[in-house]
Amino acid sequence: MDKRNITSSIFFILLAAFVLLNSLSMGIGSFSNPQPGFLLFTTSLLLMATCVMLFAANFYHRNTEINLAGLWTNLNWHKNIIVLFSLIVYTTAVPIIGYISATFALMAVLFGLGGMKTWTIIVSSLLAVFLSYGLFQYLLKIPLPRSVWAF
Amino acid sequence: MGTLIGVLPGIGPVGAISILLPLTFQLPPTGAIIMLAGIYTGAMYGGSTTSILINVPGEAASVVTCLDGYQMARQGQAGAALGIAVFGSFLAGTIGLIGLQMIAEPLSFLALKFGPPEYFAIILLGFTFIIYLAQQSVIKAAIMALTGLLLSMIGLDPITSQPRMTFGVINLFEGLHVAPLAIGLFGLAEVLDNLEKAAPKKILKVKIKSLFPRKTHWLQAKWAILRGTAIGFFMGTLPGGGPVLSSFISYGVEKRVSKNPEKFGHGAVEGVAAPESANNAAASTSFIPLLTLGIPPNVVLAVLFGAFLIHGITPGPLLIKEHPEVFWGIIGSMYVGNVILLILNLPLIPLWVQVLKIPDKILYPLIILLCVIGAYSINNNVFDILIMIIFGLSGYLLKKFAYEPAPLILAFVLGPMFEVNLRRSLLMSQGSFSIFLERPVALAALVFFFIMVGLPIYRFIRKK
Repeated sequence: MDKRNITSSIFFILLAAFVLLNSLSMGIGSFSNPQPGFLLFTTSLLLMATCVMLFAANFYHRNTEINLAGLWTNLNWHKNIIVLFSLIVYTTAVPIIGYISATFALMAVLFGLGGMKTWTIIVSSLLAVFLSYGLFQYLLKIPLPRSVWAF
Repeated sequence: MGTLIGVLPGIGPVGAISILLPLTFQLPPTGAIIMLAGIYTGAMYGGSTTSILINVPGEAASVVTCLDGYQMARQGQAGAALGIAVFGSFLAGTIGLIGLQMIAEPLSFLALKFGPPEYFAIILLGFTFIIYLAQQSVIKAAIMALTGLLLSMIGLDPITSQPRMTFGVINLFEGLHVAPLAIGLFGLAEVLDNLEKAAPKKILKVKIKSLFPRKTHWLQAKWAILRGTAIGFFMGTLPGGGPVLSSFISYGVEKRVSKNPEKFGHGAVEGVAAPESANNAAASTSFIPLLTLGIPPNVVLAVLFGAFLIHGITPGPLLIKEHPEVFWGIIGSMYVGNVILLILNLPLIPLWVQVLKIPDKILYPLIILLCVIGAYSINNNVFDILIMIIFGLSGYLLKKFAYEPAPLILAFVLGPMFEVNLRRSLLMSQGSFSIFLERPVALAALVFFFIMVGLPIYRFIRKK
């Protein structure tokens, strides 16, 4: 049994069920007058049917054995957790402390993951922040987020 | 810039075009689209360099080039492999462009006569191709395409303006933009996937004696280049086809027609010439459905489609009439680009080798930073960074669970067109599906659709 397919098909069945219920509240309409929920309803129904097929095909197919834990064995998956967590903190912090400070902190964490020396991390982060700021803010005129103190 | 993207493993043309989109905001629309099209073409050229020198494809269309390109390099023929790849790419790309120029204009005039039923049927057929031509599981590709279609319906209803799946979040009222999705699925996800592996790159220490292939190489490769070009030319126009699939098919065909198939995988020149020619021909001809029908046939052009819209241009049959400068500008620039790539690529190979030596610990944080700025700059909104992170994580998990994200992006881009044309057709016919049977183009597309769906079911039943 390929547990990747079993798990993912259950996830997509739940997603399709959620959309299906939402589409009912929007109104499906009729063929002559399709409403906003019409295609959502049809698509989620099709998605559910396809996922059931994937689930059934894997549930009764016992020849292959793939476990979920094996997908992360011998990998530095903790680095990804740090990256994702830092990015989420970044999106929360950037409207408050502004692009320069938030990006410096983000880059310091990301460069730090590579095991660089402290001073290299600081210099690389500063370079990345100021070069990107100069390029996007001044050359390309993209207004990067400012802090609540307006810098 | 395109070649640089193609050379760097870990970020393909889809992620690159999405990330570099902000660089085009200050340019006029024609210049912006030309620049992005140039990145796409350049990436097709550059991808082979890493395949041959470090056995790591710079982008998906060069995966198959690794098989024989790297073996040639190990045998001291790196220069010949790189040379054949570049010359084959140039010839195929130019032939593809001639085809694009010849076919696009008449097809645009024909497409002007299409109404909602024709568009609905063509897009439905496109969806079927996208699923049918998936490189892994067809069922999983269908799940991805259906999920993409669902995601495309987030936001205000295109006909009644009723909010759908927005859950009161104002940022979702305009729907999701293709760029944060693509940056997440193809940029951030790729970095996450590489970051956890942390295997150091091994660059082969080779002396590149001459980049000009010898006469024997040419004799061996000439038919492979032509066959690769023909396959790429055709596959490029098919929805779900494009450079990646055409490179795999051309390699398979070449191995099958070869008198010495055992040479493949051990440094056969044809194994480099055919896929590299095919992916460049496909890169040129994949513009045909986008520029004439407004239907992106592959995921790179789906992102490019989004870029067109950002710059206020709608690709489709009216493009030649309303924006001839964009249409001919793209074609002209691709001719020039092909020549420039031929001239620049060979002398710059030593530089690309140096670029490959940039340590991952510096490269990946910089790519993540570009992902963040790329997502933010679409609407100058931090919410898009969050969307990019969500899809980055989704892309990483999809890869773990062996799903291809390309059908998702394609269905996401085609979704609004699909829905509007279906609903308009049904409104026009007052709910009768016979409207699709009364129009020859729609009927033909539906016949193809039913054959493609029915044939595997028929085979399955007969087998049982």
